[in-house]
Amino acid sequence: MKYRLKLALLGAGCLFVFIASFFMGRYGIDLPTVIRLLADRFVRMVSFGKLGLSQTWTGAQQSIVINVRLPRIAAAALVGAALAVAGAAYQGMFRNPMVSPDILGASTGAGFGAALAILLGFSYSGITTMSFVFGMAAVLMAWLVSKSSRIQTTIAMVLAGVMVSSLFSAGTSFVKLVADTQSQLPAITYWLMGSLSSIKMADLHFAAIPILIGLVPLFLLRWRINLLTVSEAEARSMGIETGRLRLLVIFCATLMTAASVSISGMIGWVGLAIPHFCRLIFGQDYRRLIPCSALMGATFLMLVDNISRTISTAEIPLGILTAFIGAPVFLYLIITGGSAKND
Amino acid sequence: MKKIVLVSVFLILVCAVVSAHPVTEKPVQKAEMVKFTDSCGRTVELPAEVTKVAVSGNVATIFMASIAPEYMCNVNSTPTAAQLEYLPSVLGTLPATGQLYGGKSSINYEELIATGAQVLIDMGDYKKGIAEDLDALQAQIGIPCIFLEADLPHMSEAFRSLGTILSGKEERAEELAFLVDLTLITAEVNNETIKDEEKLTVMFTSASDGLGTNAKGSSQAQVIEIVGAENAIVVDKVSSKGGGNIVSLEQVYKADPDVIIFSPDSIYSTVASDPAWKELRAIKEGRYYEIPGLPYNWMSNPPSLNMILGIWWLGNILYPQYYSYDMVSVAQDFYKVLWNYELTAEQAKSLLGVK
Repeated sequence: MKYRLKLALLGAGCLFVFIASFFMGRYGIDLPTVIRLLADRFVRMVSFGKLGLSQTWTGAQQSIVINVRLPRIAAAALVGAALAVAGAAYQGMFRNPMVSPDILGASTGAGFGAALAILLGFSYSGITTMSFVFGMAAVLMAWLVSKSSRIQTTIAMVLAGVMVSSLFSAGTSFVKLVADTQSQLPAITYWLMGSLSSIKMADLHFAAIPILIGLVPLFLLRWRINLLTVSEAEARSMGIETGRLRLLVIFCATLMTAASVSISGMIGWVGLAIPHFCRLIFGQDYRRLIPCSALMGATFLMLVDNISRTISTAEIPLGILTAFIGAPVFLYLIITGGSAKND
Repeated sequence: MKKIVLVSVFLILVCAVVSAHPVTEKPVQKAEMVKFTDSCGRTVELPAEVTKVAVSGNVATIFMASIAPEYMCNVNSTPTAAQLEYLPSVLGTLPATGQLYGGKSSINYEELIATGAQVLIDMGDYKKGIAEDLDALQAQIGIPCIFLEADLPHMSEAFRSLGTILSGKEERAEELAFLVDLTLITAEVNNETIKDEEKLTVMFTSASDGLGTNAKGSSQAQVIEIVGAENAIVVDKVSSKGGGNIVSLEQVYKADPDVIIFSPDSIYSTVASDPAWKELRAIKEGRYYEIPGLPYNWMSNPPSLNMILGIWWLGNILYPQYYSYDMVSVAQDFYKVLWNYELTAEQAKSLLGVK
């Protein structure tokens, strides 16, 4: 199949899942009502609240479609895309397929920030902010260490990332130890498992900006990421200085990871496995890999979140489901082998 | 492909624009509303007649199951068959919607809205940031959310608040609030009468191996100090308000508690023959007990309404000269009031572990 056709199919699938997700949930709402509600929201948005559809729905229906489902589905798409692209970017940069977005400590840092905020009794928005700040700080630490080290940059950076990660995860364990077992400990544990169950519009606004700031440059510079996949010496022999590009990629990927984790908690697996799925289908070229990872990550997380919010009366954390659903599929793909031309 | 997408987007837009019309605020016919100020100072409009209540977690579940189980729309988690023996049977049929943890939650909001609840009640210890979290939640799900502080000092007040909110429950609330007040006052009076030389030290083990303890200062172990005893286990820094410090047997021998209480389903039954435990003074003297665990652990877990029973139980065990009554009939009375359950003397004895 041609790349364009595949991409179009993937895009159409993503759009389909996005729209179909609005019709799924524990609270049964008929199709026309959902459509009218969404249309009403849209019309109100473009007319600045002056125009709207005549109200044929109940307050409960409006709460569910507009305040519960809309932010959740949008967040799933955004977080899924962000984690997958960040994962793909990191993997290329470190020339290592086992790398995931938490390699430099972004998610463990974010997790620690959230745990600390819960321990200190911060409110929800405080937890989100702390988590984002610590996620960024962790990677900054790793980067500063690697910069002042005498070892080769990439290795130094990975080592520093692993160490910073373990520092922060030890910090998280300590916070869990001293937390109140009645309310704080379950809150921290639940947060770390990752979930979109309490996503509000405000969270979406909070995370959308850093995610887009990270996503757009990576998308525009995607062909250049290919340059990072060859060794530094080789790149230099071709007359390319990769230092600044490397820094930019790290910054973008970190920004996206920290912002995602700060609203969704730790959702593992997506950032590691989705880029591999895409490689199996589209090959190694980052020009294709970046847009495909974004679409596939978004689709996958929306699908899994649909399961999370419809399967039972109490939510199953997303971090658990992504692995339960994704890992078997991935194992199957490894066994049967893909169409990729690995270099 | 692109064309199809563009055309369909265009069609959707046309449909939306055609059916759009200026927004006019219609006067909505609303049920009578009353203002209510909750424990974190938020003033919320509630229906005057509340008969459908959603709970946010285990503490609110326990309170509602006691005061008005017929008004409940959900539970945090479905009680076990053993618990349901004593609890209102409706709890076994309600949807289990998970728990609200600060801002994040395992609650399925759609399920919550689908229950048609008129109010969401969150109960427990006061936490910073709770007002902001509930405001956000209320805006999102469109159901008024309130918080009632419900630790021991605020428990009777919490019942009285529930009495004013819930339709026709004022008397029932007063009955329960009185029970709480009576318990706390009895304990307070006895606490002052107990002479220093009579004070006993108690170790409260929480894990099944007996080495997790609720140390002095933890909220799980409140009952010990309330009845007028000393917590035998003092740690430098209580690992948490919630307890669960792991101690070594060596520390237990060093602390040498007068009395040890074990959690339900722990090593209680085997300690007498366990070489590591049997040399402890409390074990040798036979001063060790198993905490009654149904429908909820009487000492804690959760530290809530069930602790009221724990006060009468532990007080009676430690200081029968002050807490002088027949625990079997007290248990029967309390189960009647708390859970509307007719506890037979045999059941009470089996709960209390007396022959």
